[in-house]
Amino acid sequence: MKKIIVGIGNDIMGDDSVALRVIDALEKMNIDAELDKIFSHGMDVAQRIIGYDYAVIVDSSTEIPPGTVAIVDENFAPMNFDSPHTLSIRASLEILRKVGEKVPKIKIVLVGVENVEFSEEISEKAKKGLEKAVNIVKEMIEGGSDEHNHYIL
Amino acid sequence: MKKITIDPITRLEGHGKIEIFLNDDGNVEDAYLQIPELRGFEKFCEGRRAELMPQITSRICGVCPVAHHMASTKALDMAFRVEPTETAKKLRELMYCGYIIYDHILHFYFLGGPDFIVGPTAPKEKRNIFGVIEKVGEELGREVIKHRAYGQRITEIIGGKATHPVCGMPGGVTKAINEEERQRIENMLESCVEFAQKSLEIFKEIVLKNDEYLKLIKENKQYVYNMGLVDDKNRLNFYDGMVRVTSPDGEEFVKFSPEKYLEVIEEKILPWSYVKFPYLKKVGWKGFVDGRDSGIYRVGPLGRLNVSEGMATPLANSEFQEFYDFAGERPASQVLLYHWARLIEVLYAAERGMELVKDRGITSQNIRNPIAKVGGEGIGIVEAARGTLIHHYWVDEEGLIKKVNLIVATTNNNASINLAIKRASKNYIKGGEISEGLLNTIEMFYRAYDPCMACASHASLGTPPIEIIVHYKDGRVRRLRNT
Repeated sequence: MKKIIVGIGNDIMGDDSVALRVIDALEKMNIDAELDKIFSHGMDVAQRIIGYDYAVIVDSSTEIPPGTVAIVDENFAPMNFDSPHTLSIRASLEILRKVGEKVPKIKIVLVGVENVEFSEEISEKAKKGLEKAVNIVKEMIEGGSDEHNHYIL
Repeated sequence: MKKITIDPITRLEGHGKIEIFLNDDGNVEDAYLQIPELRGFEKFCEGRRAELMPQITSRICGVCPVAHHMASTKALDMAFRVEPTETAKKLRELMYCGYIIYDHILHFYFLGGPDFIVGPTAPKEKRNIFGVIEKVGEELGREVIKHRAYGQRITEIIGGKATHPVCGMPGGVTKAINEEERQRIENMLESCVEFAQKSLEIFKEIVLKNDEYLKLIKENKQYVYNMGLVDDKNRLNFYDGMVRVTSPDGEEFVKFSPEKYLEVIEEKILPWSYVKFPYLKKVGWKGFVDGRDSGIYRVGPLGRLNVSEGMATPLANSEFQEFYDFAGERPASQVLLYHWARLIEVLYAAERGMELVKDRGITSQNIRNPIAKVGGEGIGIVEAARGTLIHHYWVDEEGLIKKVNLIVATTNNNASINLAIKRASKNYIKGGEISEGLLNTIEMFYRAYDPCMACASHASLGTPPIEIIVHYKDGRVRRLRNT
């Protein structure tokens, strides 16, 4: 099974770098998946995971308590066609399916964050979430794709 | 299981808002676009090593990082007193062509295109890229995805990363390309030329043969100044040249080199907006009105074509002539012609890329000149997909950033966008009657500019939905869209 883990974030926006740090940590673990960091979103992420069987997308979120981790399906992301400027990940994946691309099975791992301002440091809560997320993603990759469904830690 | 609402994309920016104020008769008194801001980016840069700026500034936005990377790199060329090698200039411009291709394709087909291809009054669930694919067919849908990806691959081959390049440095680029890479880029660009031509045919077939669209195009004109980079023959150039400004009736108002921008542009601060309103200093700020006496200008595809006397490549130049034959005036004042201008630019970028990639010197290893001196001011101007982008740095003798000023494309267009929204609102909202299709029609004039709120606010990544708020004279407020 061809697997990929993509961390999305911005390394100068404080806690928003947490998913990129998850990838940094996984890089040291000899994990059986391709790893990548993407500083944008939507179609860029969707096109990056095409051709894989299983993709784990790691992102930060201010919608869940800081320091917690949520694992969700892509359906939890908004379709969001009303943007003036770009597309959501879910809309992007739907488009790729529509034109016949092979879209992998996807899980989104969200790390709850609190400080999303210009900074290269992350908060203590985000650090806790980072630690949890690394272990969870590793387990997801090593344990197969279907073991985890939606829950919050 | 606790169901959570997750919006990992909109988390940083908040919502852009269009606020419409109605009078006692339910007609539009005023309308504004408001863009939220996350302050502090310029401050964040202070004290950092100047050579890191191309990477740092490209983090402003997840949509136009290549433009920020390039404007920043050019600002460093000036600050470090070093001229890039000829090969480096060509590689930078070639990468930039890839960026314009993928950025403009995304906008035309995915974001702005649904307005035209599906229709402004089509049901909301159809007015999106799926509706576009339904109308133009899945095969073309695949071509759209493929050619957008080509643009990104070109950027990646030269820039090291698909979206956020890492190649720019003062005096050149970090890496040369080899013959195998050159050939891959040529193959992709060849296909992009054909795809751009096909896209233009689609535009002419669907838009220019539809009376409803033609009416919208012709009803909404804006006589403002135009701004954009041009080469030594006053032809459009994305990467380098002089900034040319032409008047609403097409005369050259000023042509200036990047270091003179502060002599030409001044920024108006209005209490209700976080984002400033640049205007031409010598003309002055007269509020949201157009005409020769108002300092408002437009940038981006329509602005660029309007300041140009032609395109430097043959196929794009032929389209350029047809464009003005249709407009019936030069400069073109029809706001919705931004879309057509955008497609002509895709064709130009693909053709120009072909010229560069076929240049025998493009695989040369002579990609960098040594830095002459550290310290001083550096100003870099490029044409981002959505308009003129200015980076200005003050660097000390240690090579550290003392101060930063950025004027991004959407900020340059801020007054023009507001004017377009106000005019469209007045044209179409009558007697307080507001339908979904009508609101979308007004939004079309905002989308035509391909505005980037992340850049304008110097915020960060995001997909801010647009909110429309209507204020009635009796104090009622209707929030008509809030996704």
